[in-house]
Amino acid sequence: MNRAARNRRNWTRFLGLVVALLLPIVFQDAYLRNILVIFGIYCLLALSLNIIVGYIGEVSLGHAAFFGLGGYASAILSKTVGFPVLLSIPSAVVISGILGLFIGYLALRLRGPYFAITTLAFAEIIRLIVTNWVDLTRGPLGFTQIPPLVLGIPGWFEFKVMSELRYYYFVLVLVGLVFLLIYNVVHSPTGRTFLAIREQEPLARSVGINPFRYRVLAFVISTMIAGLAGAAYAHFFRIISPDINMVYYSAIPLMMVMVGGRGTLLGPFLGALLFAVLPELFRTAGTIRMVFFASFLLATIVYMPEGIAVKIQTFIRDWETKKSPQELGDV
Amino acid sequence: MRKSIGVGAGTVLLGAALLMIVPTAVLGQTKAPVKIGVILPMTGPAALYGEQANRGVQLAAKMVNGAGGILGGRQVSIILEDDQANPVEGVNAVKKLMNRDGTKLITGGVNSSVSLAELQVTKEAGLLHIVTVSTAPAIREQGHPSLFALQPTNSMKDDFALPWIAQVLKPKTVVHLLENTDYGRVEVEELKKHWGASGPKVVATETFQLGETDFTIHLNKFKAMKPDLFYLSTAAPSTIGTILKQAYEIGFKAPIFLAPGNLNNDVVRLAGPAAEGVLCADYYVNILDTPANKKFVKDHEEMFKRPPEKMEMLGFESITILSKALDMAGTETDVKKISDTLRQNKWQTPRGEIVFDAKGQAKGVGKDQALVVKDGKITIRK
Amino acid sequence: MSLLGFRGGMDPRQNGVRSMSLPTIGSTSMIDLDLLVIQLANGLVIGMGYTLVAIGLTMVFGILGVLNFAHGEFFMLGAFVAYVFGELMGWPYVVSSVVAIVLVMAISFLFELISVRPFMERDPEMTLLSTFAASLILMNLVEVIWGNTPLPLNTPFSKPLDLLFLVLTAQRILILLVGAVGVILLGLFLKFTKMGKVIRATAQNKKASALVGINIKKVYRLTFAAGTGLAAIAGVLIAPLSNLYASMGQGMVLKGFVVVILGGLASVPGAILGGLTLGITEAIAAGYVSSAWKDVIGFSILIIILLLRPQGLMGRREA
Repeated sequence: MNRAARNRRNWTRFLGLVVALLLPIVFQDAYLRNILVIFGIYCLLALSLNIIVGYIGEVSLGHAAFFGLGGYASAILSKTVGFPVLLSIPSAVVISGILGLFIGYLALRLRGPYFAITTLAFAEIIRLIVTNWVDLTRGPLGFTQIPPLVLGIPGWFEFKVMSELRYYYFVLVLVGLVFLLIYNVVHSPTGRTFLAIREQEPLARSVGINPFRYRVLAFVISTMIAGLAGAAYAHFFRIISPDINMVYYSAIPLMMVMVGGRGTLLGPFLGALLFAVLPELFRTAGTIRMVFFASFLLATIVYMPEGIAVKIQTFIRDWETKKSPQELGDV
Repeated sequence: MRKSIGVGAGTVLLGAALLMIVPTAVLGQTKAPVKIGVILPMTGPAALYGEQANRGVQLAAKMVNGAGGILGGRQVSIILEDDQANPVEGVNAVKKLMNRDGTKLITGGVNSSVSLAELQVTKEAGLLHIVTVSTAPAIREQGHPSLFALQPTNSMKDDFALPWIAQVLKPKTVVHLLENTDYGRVEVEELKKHWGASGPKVVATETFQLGETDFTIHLNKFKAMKPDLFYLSTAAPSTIGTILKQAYEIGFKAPIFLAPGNLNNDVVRLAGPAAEGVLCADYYVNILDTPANKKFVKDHEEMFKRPPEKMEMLGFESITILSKALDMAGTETDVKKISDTLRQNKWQTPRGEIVFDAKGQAKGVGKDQALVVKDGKITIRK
Repeated sequence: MSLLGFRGGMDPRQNGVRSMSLPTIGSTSMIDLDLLVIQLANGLVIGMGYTLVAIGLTMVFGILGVLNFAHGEFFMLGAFVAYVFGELMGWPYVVSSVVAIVLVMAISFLFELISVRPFMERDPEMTLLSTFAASLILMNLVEVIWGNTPLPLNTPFSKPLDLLFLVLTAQRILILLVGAVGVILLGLFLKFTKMGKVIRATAQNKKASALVGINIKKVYRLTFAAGTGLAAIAGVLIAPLSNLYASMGQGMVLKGFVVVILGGLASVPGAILGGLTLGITEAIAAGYVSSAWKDVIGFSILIIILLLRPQGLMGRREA
């Protein structure tokens, strides 16, 4: 990509950051800020699934398992076991990663529909465990009074991250870190290896790359981020129920990634914007909302399978290529 | 000279007085409504109950407004939000009502998990919170200074039903089937507590997971023991209906007692002929023969072309009592004053008279009734 | 009334039966034998339901190469359409059921047109997502129309029949009968009729079949209709056992996948064997093991099979 385009892209990113930082100042009321927090958490979810769908190239139908697991793990560790939240959240991330390692190691030996069914089966098992192990998780009644996130050293000074405003910035920091992580991986030799595996697997193998290991690694990273999203969710709403493991939370990230544009860095954000903000605008629509979303997904798959972000990028690129010949004086 | 000054002064005074009255009269024509938030499950698994409670709410609002409104002729305005039986949605709804609609009056709540989540927010924000349907004891134990719960807890309901069974039905052996939740487990304790050593003997206890659809194993086990009574502790009408049907289908003939509060017309409809003879107890049935209830039933049938049940009554109660309390306290924003008003007075409702105790639990001064299904209808069993 | 965590009987994946204590009255050995017989009978019945659903799934995969994630929704639609005619319009159960099956097969034509056909040429892998999206649409549409409260489907076959060891309702026996008859008929059809042979040919080798002039598209449509028809039959038969709810298809299709993988993708005999096996295994687990976890067993089997013997019990190893 040429210099001008890169500059433009960096400027867009910088602007995006500024806007994100200023949003809660524009939206003063707690209800809208609530939506912003949800948007942030959905960004994390979308970014994490994007790794599997976009970079590994497989469809996972069981992502909700890791989201829910992260939430429950952090909730149980902080409330029942007594960890400070500052410790329970990273622990939950690690736990999600370990489970991701286990499941990824088993499931990634399979491809296509087999992989999808396996992820679905694993997600169901986890959902059943969470729902039925009532002594640990309080089952269908939900796990309530989850401790809030408190930064600082107890006894010395404490900074409660509870209000929508503070939590939004907390989530923003998380999103920023995750984005940087993904960005750096994508633009590193490891990222190029992933690309090679996805596009030309036999060739990659022929130069000694073990695709399986890379896929598992990517899967683990993805599940850790999903676990982080779940933990963030748990400590914001401070209640969590088995609903969080249901198909809805596997379907929505999938939609975010597919519609937003898989395999891109911008895609997940667009998807999260659409699917986090829209439900709140259509608050009273409930189930009809899902019909629209699913129809939207179907239409996208038929007409725009690469997603909005890629469409935009192609559009900009076409627009640019149309411009340059004239600038260079070509006919 | 003095006379003209007197007349002049009098005119000015009269004019000033008129000036003061007229604007008030003009302003009074467009009085701001009193906004009351109602959060119910209008979609999702508990939607049926949400709809029922909402009917009661709408009827109450209509009655109150028809009688001239409250707080100086102001109309009550119900703002309905859907919690989808999801605690997170409930929390979002409270925040919206608080911030965008600017009301301090929150009512509603069918699923206990949702109410539990909501009350954290209303407690921190100092809002008035009337819990319409949810029954979990934990709700009443949060130390929430402005929370009021309308339904009796299950323990309260058992306080009537279990001794009644021991004294009136006198079964020697009882089999107990319960759902694997807090509710079910508490029921096991309640049976022990009320029947103890000298009461009916519970010879078998079986648990099932929520959502189960095949109960034939348990029922066959029970059938083999030939008990005098089958006591069922679960709430969902569809589950009860299935259990009753399957018991009927395998020829399990023991009398069945549903844990109090769980018999309603949905159960009768879903179980069909299998519901015949089923027993229960409740603090409210729509066939209660009191003037207040008869009026309520009549008004409901007029507005909705169908009779009300317990949910409708509770919804009706929530708005009727709240409206009166607001009027008596003379404020819609002083939550402490409204709470004190609620606690210090007796309230007349279709189920009788109720008072709120220190924790906000409504206690009926009326009597619970034993019920039985006869010829497809719920009737009072003497 | 405690409505803590009440999902309205919505989710069969929350199945499970756990016994807290064994009865102390009565002869234990007799109860055990009774229990075993009852459990086997129940297992067979529910297994037959799984079989019917799985056969359709496996046929569609074998011939179209599409794993239809919305298959469960046809099971669900069969029950709901029967409900509309039976409960809302008062028609007799058998009539409503037949009408429901026919209508669902018609709906499946439309479904195939929208969710499957556009991708068969272009990118068959997309059918994964498209059928997944379609299943969400169907399920939520049904919920919008009929709400989320469980609905009853009444059948005249609910009278209990005393058969020596156990009491079974006629409905359960009907499931076994219809299932068995259906499977036999299907087998005969595939083996002896012209269309049956055409279908088998297409399953074996698409290109060769097209070369000898077989209308592949017609085969696709027919297979799809047959598969969903079987699912609808399962729906109308099983729904009266408990209740109808919009998401009843989700649980069923997952079990269908387990059976299909267990029996071998694209193998009808495998689906039959797998279905009955799964049903009986679950029932025995539910009766004897402390089993809120009976569904977990099914999924664990799925995963183990996928890893150790991906072609299933009766499938062929893919090249």
